[in-house]
Amino acid sequence: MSNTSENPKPSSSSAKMTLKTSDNELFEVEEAVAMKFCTVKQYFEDEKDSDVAARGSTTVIPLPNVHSAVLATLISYGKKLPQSNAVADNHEEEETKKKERKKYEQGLLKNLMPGELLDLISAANYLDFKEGLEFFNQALADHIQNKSVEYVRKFFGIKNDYEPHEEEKYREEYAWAFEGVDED
Amino acid sequence: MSHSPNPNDQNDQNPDPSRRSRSLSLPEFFFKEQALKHVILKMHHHHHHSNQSNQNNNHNNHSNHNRHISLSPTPSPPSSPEPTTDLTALVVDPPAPNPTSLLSDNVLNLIFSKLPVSQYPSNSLVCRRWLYLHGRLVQSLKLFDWSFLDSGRLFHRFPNLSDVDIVHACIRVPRNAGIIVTRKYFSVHLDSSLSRDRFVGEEDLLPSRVIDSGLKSLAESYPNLRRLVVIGASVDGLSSVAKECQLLQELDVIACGDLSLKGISGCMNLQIMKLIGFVDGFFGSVVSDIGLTILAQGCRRLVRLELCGCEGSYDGIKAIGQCCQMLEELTLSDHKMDGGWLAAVSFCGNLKILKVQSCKGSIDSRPGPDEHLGSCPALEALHLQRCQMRDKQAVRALFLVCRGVREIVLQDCYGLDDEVFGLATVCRRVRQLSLEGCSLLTVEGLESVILSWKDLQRLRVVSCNKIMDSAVTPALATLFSVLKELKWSPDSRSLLSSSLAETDLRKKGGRFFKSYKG
Repeated sequence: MSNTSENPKPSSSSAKMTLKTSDNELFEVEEAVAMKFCTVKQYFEDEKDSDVAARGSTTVIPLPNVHSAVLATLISYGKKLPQSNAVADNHEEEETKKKERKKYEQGLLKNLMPGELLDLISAANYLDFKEGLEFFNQALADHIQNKSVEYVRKFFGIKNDYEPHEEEKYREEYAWAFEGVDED
Repeated sequence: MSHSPNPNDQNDQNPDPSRRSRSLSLPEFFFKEQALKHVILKMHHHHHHSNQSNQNNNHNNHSNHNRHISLSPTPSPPSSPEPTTDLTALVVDPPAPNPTSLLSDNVLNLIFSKLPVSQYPSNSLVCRRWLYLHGRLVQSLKLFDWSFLDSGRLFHRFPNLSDVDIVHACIRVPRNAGIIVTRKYFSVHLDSSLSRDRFVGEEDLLPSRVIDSGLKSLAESYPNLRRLVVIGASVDGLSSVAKECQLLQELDVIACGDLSLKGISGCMNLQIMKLIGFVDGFFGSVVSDIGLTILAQGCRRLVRLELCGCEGSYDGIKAIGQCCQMLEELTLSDHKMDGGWLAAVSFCGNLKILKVQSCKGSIDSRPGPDEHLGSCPALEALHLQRCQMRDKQAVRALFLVCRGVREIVLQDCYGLDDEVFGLATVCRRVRQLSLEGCSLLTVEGLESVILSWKDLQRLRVVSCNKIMDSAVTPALATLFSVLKELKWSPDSRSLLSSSLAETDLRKKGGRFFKSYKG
C-alpha cells in the first residue's frame, strides 16, 4: 500500500485520500468513494476550514475503529455504487451495471461469517456510510427473518439472560395478553 | 451504547504496543477498551466490596463463570463470536456479553424494523436488551387481557404505542374460548356456555368505571396516541383521553351511549370516527340526535364518519353537516334513523362519498317532498351495499340528493329491479358504474339508464344473473366499444362452468356416477 498521497484537490474527481486503519494499514481511496463515508467527509471538511498551512501537508485520515479487512470490503462496496459525479448512462448500460452490482453483492454475502457481518455494520455505522449500512443491515435482517429464538441466539452468540420463570411469563403474555398489529 | 468516537482524539487511548502481537478484529478491540476500563474499576471495587455486587445486576448472565481478572485477550480467530465471553465475565455493567452489543440501539432498531412484526415475539425472547428494544418499536397493539393494562405492564413493556384497541380486553371471556363470533364489523371470542339470548350482554362487559380508570392510565401513559378503539366507556374515561391525547386522530367508540360522547368534545384534532351503537345480538346502547349533535359540536375537524346501528334523524345529520365543514366521507351501516334524514345530507357541503350499508328496512321511510331534499353539492361517489331497495320513494329521494355523483356502486342490493334502477337516470353526470350481485336487473333496464349517461366511461357488471349476453343490443355494444374500461361478467353460472370445464371435473364426475350405479 502506498502511503503518502498528493494534496487532495476537491474539484478534481481523480483526487485520492489516504485512510489509516486501526492496524496501521494505509488505504488510498478515490475522493468520490471516500466522500460516501460521511465521517471521513466531515473530517475532510473540518480540515479544509482549518488554517492554510495545515492544508499544505498530506492528509492521512485516521480510522482507529476500523480494521483493514473491514475497510477493504467497505471500500470495494463503495466503488460499486453509482458515483454521484458520473456521466448519466443510457438505459442499457444502467441495466448491465445493476446486474453486475447484484452479482457482486451476492458473492460478497455468500462468504460472510456472522461476526464479519456485524463488524461491517458497526464500521459502516461509525463511518456513517449510509448505503453500506442499509445494505448490510438488510442482509442481516434477511438472514434472521423468521428464524427461531434459538437460531438467532446461536447466530449472534447471545446468551439467554432470562430467568426461566421470566421467559415463561413473557411467552404467556405473547400468547394471551395482546396482539401486535402489522402495518398495512 | 451509542458509539461514534471522534477520529481525532482516539489515538492516545491505544492499548500498550507490547500487547498488539497480532491485529485485532473490531469486537476484540472494543472489548479490550471496555474491559480495560472496567477492570480498573473492578480492581478498585475489589478493595472495598465483595463479589456480591455482581449478583444485583440483572444484565449479567447467571452462569458460573470464573471471574478471575485477566488482561490478555483469549486467543482465537477474530470472526467467531465466542472469545468475548471470557473477557466480559468481569464486566459489571451492561453491555451483555455478545458482539451485537457493539451495535448501538439505533443500528439494531434499523435492523429490527426490516423484520415483520410477527417475528417480534420470538425476537424479544432472545435476550433482555432485545426485549427492551422491541418493546420500544411496537406502535400498534390489540389488547386481550385487562390485567395486562391494569397492572401497568402494558405501559412498561410498550412505551411507544400510538394505536391501541382495548375492546377484547373489556369483554369477559374465558381464556381458552375456542369460538369466534363475527357479526358484521365486530368479532369476539366466546365459549360454549351460552344461556342467554345474546352473544355478549351487558354483564359480560367490564363495568364502565373500571374501563374509565383504565382509559385514564392509558391516556396518561400515551400522550401521543393517534388511534384508539374503546368499548363501554363513559364521560370520565373519554374526557381523560380527550384531555391527555391531543394528537388523537382516529377513534372507534363502541356501545358508549349518547351522553358519554360529551367526553369526546375535547378531541380537537379528531378526524376519523366510528360510532357503533347497536349491534343485534350484542350491545344495545343508543346513539341518537343528542349524541350526534354533541359529537358534531365537539369534533369540528371530522373528515370521515361512520355510524353503525345509530338512531337519529334529520336534526342529527343537519348538526353534523353544519358543524363538520370538512367532512368528506359519511357511512351509515345498519342505520336506525328516523325518516326524513336524507334531506339533511345536503347540509354536508364538502361531502364527497356517501355510503349506505346493510340497510334492511327502507333507506328513508319518509323522505319528504322533492323541493326540500336539496342536493349534496360536492358529492362524487355513492356506494350502496347490501341494501333493500324496494321502497321506490326512498331510492328516488336518495338519487335526487346525490344527483351530482360521478360514481355509483351497487353491490348485493336486493329489490333492485329495472324500475328501481331506472330512477338513477336523475343522476346525469355518472362516469363510473359498478353493479355486483344485482339479480333482478335485466339488460333492458341497464340499457335504458346507461345510454342516457353521456359521461359514462367505466362500467363493471359482475354476477347479475338476469343480464344475458344474448340480450345485448347493438346500441349497447357500440357503447361498450367506446368505454375506457369495461368488466363484463354478469353470468356467474357461466363463469363457474367455464372454469370447471378447464379442470375436466364435470366429465370425471359423470364417469364416477356411472360406475357407481353399475
